[in-house]
Amino acid sequence: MNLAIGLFLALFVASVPIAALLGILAFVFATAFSPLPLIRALGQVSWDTGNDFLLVAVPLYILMGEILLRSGIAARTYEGLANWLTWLPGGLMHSNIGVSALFAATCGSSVATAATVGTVALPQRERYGYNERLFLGSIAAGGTLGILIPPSINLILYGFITETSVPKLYLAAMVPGIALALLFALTIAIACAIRPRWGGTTRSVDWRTRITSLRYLLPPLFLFLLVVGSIYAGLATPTESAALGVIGALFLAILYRTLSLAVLAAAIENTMRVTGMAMLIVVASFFLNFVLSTLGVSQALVAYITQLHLPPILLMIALIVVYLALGCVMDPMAMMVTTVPVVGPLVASLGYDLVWFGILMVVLSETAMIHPPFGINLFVVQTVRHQGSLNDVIIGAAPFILTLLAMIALLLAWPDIALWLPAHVKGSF
Amino acid sequence: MARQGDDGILDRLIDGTRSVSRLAVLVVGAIMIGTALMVGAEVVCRKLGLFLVTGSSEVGGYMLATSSAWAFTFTLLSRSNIRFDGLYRHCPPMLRALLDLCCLLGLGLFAVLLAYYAMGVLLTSIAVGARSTSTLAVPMWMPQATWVAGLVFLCWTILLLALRVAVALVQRDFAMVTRLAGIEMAAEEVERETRDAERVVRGAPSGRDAAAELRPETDPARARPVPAKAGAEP
Repeated sequence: MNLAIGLFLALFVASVPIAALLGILAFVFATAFSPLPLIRALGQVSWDTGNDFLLVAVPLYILMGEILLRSGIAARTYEGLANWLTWLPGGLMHSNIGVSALFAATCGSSVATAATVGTVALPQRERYGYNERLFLGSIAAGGTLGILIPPSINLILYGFITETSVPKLYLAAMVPGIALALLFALTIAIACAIRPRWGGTTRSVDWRTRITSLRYLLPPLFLFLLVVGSIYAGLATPTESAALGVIGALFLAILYRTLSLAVLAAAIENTMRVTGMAMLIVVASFFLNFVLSTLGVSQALVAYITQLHLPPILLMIALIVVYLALGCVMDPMAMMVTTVPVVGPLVASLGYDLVWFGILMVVLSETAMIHPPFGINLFVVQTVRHQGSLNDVIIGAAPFILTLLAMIALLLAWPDIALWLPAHVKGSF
Repeated sequence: MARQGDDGILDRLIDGTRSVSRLAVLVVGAIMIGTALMVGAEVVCRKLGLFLVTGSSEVGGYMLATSSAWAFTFTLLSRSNIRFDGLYRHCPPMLRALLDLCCLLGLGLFAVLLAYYAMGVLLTSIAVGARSTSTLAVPMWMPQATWVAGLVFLCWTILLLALRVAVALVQRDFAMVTRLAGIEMAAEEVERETRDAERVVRGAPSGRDAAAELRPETDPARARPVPAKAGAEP
């Protein structure tokens, strides 16, 4: 056992790709600790995992986001929302959060959300004199909503790993998603109340402009209804709704005349790059989990922790701390896929709801997305910006890390923030 | 074929593999869009009470297995696999290149195991004439063959890259190692992600520029040893 952990750490530090690391570990476990030729199951396990229909949603969501990113939909939405939110202390920064939330409701990825919003929002900053760091931070933080507000790639993967209903997870994510967006806005408002200079100049917008700009909010609303609404209307499964989303995104891109073969090819290439990365980890992780549970390692771990008779809340807090630390050395998606097969059963044995834990897991992943060293959204914003130091983004995002920690505490104190909606929506999910 | 200079047979093979990988990805991507249309059609037909399109979920599954098998190579060639770079980024170029080779071999071990046992699944399906238990009754060897082919192609690519990296290592050409098998630094990665979005905002995409950007990375500027993820800014 110690040997296996040593091997894991050695390979990890030697920068072996996470997927290969998990595969090699499974191979070592299977050949060293079992009298049965477990490794022979590798083919069947990876075929079964690889053609699961629920997972088909993953590349479809990525493809949808890639098409939307290039469709020009974000610029229009930003303008529409900015007209409504500029009177708040912090002005356009609230639009950053608002557009992120809206875009998150049409797309399942945080990187796509931050890239899209950043591209439209950044040129506005200088014109109205906002505090640069806070402005950058609001885009990085707002972007993380992409994986919380449904649809969400991470929730699909979580649902697949823990065999939790994805429609239930989506319902559970809605209230925390909106709450988090409001908390982000509150963070901005508080910062600008303390330092009014940060808030830039407010511009006044007449009601006529506001009303006419409402039409810019229709495309994201249309996509949200198509992708998420079709699930609860009983029309489509999550994967089917993802397919509808791809069709909807293509439709919008054609409508805005941004669709060309070159754009489509670029969208496909990026989709495949991310799909290849994610699926290799999923396949390897599933095989490792198959080996570990056949050997009884997972069960032994759960039994060991249960017989400690520690208060569940203490263990949960310990888990959160471990995940916050893991987020400092691992990509959030990889972190979730590799740990949840083992941690999920443990959490369930402690009496926690797996739907609730899924939401907590996603908020933890969001936190890892805006702090160094793997905070991918920091890099996204910095790259869109083309100037200055990455430190500006890191410092600007720092207040929002506190907001995310507060959200984690809220979820811990009132699990109903996540669980109330799925309990009160009728339907057999 | 131990020592190769620039544009030796290995380089040409790698270029060819790159082209094949890109073509394969575009083909499976087109199939993916086709699958999305088929799934959408099934949803609409079901709602209307027509059962003209069925079995799209099964086809979707085969599409996922095949496209991810071929995407593995594409991900590898664009150096997008997730690796921990905490130690890596503090290493001198020589050690870094050595780590790159070891990681390639590690991935190779997993890929060979995967392809070998996947081949076993395929051969069993052929031997027993397995068909899917659905209305489509698809002979299982069909989707499994395209899946296994993708995995075998991954092994082939890793073999080529490992040979080329080993040669570059002997020649102390560390920039070449980084270009072929180094960790894709966050800056490069994100730049790629945002390029297209910016183009949409700043003006209509010109087909020619886009085509140029879609070509595999042969830009010498990208071969320079770049600072690592968080190391970019102290």
